[in-house]
Amino acid sequence: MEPLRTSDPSRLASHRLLGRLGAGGMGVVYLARSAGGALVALKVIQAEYAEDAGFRERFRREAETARRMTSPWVASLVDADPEAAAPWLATVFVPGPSLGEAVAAHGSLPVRSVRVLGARLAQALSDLHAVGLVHRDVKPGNVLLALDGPRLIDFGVARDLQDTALTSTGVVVGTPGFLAPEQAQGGREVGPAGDVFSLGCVLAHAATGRPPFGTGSLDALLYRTVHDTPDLEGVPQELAEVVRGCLEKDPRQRPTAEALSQALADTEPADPREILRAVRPSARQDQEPADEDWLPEPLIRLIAERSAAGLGLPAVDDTEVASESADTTAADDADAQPSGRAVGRRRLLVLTGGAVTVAAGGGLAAWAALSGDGKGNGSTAAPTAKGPVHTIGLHADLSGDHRAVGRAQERGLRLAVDEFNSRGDRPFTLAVRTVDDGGVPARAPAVAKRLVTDPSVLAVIGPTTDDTALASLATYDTAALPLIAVSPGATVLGVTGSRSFLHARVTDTILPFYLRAYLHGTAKSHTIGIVDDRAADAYGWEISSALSRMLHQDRQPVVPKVVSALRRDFGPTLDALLEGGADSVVFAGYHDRAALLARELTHRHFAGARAAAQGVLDTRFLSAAGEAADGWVVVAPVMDASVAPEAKAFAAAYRRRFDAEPQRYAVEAYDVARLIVQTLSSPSAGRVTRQNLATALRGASYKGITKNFAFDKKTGSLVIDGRGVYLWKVDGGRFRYQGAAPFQVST
Amino acid sequence: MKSNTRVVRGSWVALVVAGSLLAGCSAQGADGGSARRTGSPTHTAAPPSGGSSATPAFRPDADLVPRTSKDGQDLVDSVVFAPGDWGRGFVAQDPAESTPGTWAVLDDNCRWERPKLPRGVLAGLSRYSRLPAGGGKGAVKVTASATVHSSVLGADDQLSTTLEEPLRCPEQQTRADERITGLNSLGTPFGAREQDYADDSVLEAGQYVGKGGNAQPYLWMVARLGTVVAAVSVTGGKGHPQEELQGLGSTALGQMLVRVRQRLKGK
Repeated sequence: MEPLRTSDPSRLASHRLLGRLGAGGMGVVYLARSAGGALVALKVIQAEYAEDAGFRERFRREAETARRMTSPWVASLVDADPEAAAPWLATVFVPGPSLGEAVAAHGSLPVRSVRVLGARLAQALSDLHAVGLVHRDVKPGNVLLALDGPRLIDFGVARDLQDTALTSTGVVVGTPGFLAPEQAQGGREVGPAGDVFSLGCVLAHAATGRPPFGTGSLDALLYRTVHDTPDLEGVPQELAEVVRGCLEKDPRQRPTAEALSQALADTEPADPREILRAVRPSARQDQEPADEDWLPEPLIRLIAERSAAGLGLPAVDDTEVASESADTTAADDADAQPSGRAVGRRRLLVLTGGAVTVAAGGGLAAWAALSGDGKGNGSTAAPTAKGPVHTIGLHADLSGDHRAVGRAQERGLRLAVDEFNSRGDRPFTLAVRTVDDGGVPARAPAVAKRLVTDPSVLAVIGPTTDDTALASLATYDTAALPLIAVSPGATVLGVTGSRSFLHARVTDTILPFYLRAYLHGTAKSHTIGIVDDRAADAYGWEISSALSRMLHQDRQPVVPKVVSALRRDFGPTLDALLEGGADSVVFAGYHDRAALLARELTHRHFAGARAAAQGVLDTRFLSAAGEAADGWVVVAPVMDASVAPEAKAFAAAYRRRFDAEPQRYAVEAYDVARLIVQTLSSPSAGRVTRQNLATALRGASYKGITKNFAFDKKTGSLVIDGRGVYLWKVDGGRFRYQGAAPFQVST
Repeated sequence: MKSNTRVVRGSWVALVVAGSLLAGCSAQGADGGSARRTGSPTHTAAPPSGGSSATPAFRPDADLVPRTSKDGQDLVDSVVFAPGDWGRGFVAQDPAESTPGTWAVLDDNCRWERPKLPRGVLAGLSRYSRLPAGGGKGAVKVTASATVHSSVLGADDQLSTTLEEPLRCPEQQTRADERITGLNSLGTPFGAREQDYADDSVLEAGQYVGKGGNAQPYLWMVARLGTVVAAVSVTGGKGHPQEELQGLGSTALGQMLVRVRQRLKGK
């Protein structure tokens, strides 16, 4: 890192600039500290680009998209201001060396490292592509290495389209040797397949130490990229075919990033983040599989040195430190133990054999810098632990279709655990262990098994979806390990006879009470139309059948329609609803097909209210339905903690901790974590065993931020008191929080 | 599929019958086994869609799929259970069969009628049988039926309509003095809840209230293979346990589906 120049500002927006990370055609990238204390890479765009209205508009749009995207392997966007005189954007700072530096210093990577690298970078690209972003400059210099995996930096946003293409004057600004043929030929805008080609080059380079189209003059490189077969000699056989597929000249022949990620991940070892996140008794370390670290030892050391260098950086302004240390978490350990102060700002990296143990004696911000993504923060590690260490597991979808929900739950849990661990008088210390099933039911039992076989895990929050919950219920039940579901809504979860399950939300069959109250009350609907989408199987059916039954019992008119999963045209359905006299619509299905119905309703100028349950509370509904999403109301067991008055303190702590707005389902998981903590702390738990805790939890009552928790002792289902369900309304292309949903039509 | 396989598994039938809902039990709690769910690995791109657009249970020989009313009629004639197929002691009701060229429709007043087949439906047949009362047990009434559509979409719509019926009419009038009440139902596409025998299926359970006013358990089981929809109903008399009636219906439907497969594969 270079020091700041005299021409550089010392602050920008609420950031304190610490140094220069680099400069390019578009502007300067600074290392900076945000107001919350997190280290960020701050890219400031040169004024001449900012004057271009087209550029600013694209910047704004892409920053908006990037803000919604989260990927564990992309240095995510923290903040951006496209409207500023000099527009800027801040991404999470990753202290590690780039892949280019690592290969230059230590040569090619072993095959397993390349495979892990490839799977995760492909996942990163897949996440980018899924929201419509194209990176356009995938190269070793844009891949940073962290202890838990790679991070792709400098994605699509704020790069001029011409930046990596052949310009009219024949100058290539990007990185020849890693460009796709269609990029090298210039003219056309590069699509997702161009990124896949570049990734193929990156992997070949990592595996052999040489770029697959060689080095040399610009013209020769471009020519070879377009015409020659790549040089893959030395690429291990098991990777060669996959890499060759990426390097097809015809973009259509290349795999998608998602397919590539699947192909590489098939034999990928377990997420090495586990080892950083989990606090394990030291006696068990020798049982760790030796392959959990994904990089060879010298590179781990290199990363560690880089991370340690970040420690010498100035902290946030003193006044901010003072106000923060009163209520941040692990930092307080140092206050509680005077001798701990000495190591307060220093991080201890203990390299033991193949396994890596990180002892965080420092503050959260420093720890966040080490883990690079600001979210892989373990709770305080063993050396500062007080009393026994109990682990709360999180079984979640952290990488699949519902990853936004899973990750939010992880953050809610971590915040609660950190707060608990910051208490000087705590009788025990809490740790967090996460497992990721990717939202795939077939994987759920195996990842559940990992928590079940870890004896320090006393309770588990999750899984994220109905299907993964159903698939893993038996595994938890057999081990009598308390499993507390925050987001799944299937009623059947409570009727399978599991002894250790607790349902921390009302089931989907309860939501129709709120739907009816909204439609008959607020929306003054007389005849409710119901569209049950068979593509949503049991989820849709719980809502549609419970709602129609309720309306029949009340002798209220109802027009139910069931739609085949084979149909994509909701026109005939709408005909039937209108013919039946429906003046409002409830959609019992998921966000993707809700958008089809939304468009049809708008197309027909349907004037009535539109409502749905949590399956539609997804930003993808907004993008797929466009303006037709406006006015839709969603009833969901989810609070908007960023605005709800009850969640004010939570939101403030969350912002401090993660430098981000609380995401949906974070506060719900936080509540459940606090319920576990309260139960663990109370004498009613008795000798702390899983079974005792399960019984104690079912007998517990706890007043949370989002709802009151009390359970049916026999089934573990939530005692319904009318709280815990909230209204969201789409307005101007956003879900806007409307507060608690009424349970009954007010009379 | 073995010819004597009961198509509908007991554990979740019990849930539907008990009205304790809805979303599939799978064998989880009951057997302690891990349910075999066919969430495909690529599932992550979309919401969990158990829709019947998933992998079909069965790919018929295109040349053998009925295209005309006559082909359809031949198929339903050979597939639909006659009294003797149900087992020893079963006899035909009067009437023994539905009127040719008609099918059952639940009208706007929640009354069952048999209008003419609409366009897109090639053939439909129902056969009515019964096991007379005896040995201290009440009579069991059964229906077997099959409908042949000219398109898969049309057949799939029939299952949607079947699911819609209890939403629309929780109480249905079958004849002037007979009605069905307390209906619960659940649709299960291929691959969900261990359903491995048909492209799509519907189970409905309720009570049948006859002339005397006493209620008997009633089951309606429907399954689709390609363009063919097969169904059975079972109404049990006194002394016949629920499991026996489920087994009876389930076995009959399973065997009718085997007949459909055999005809469309040309064995």
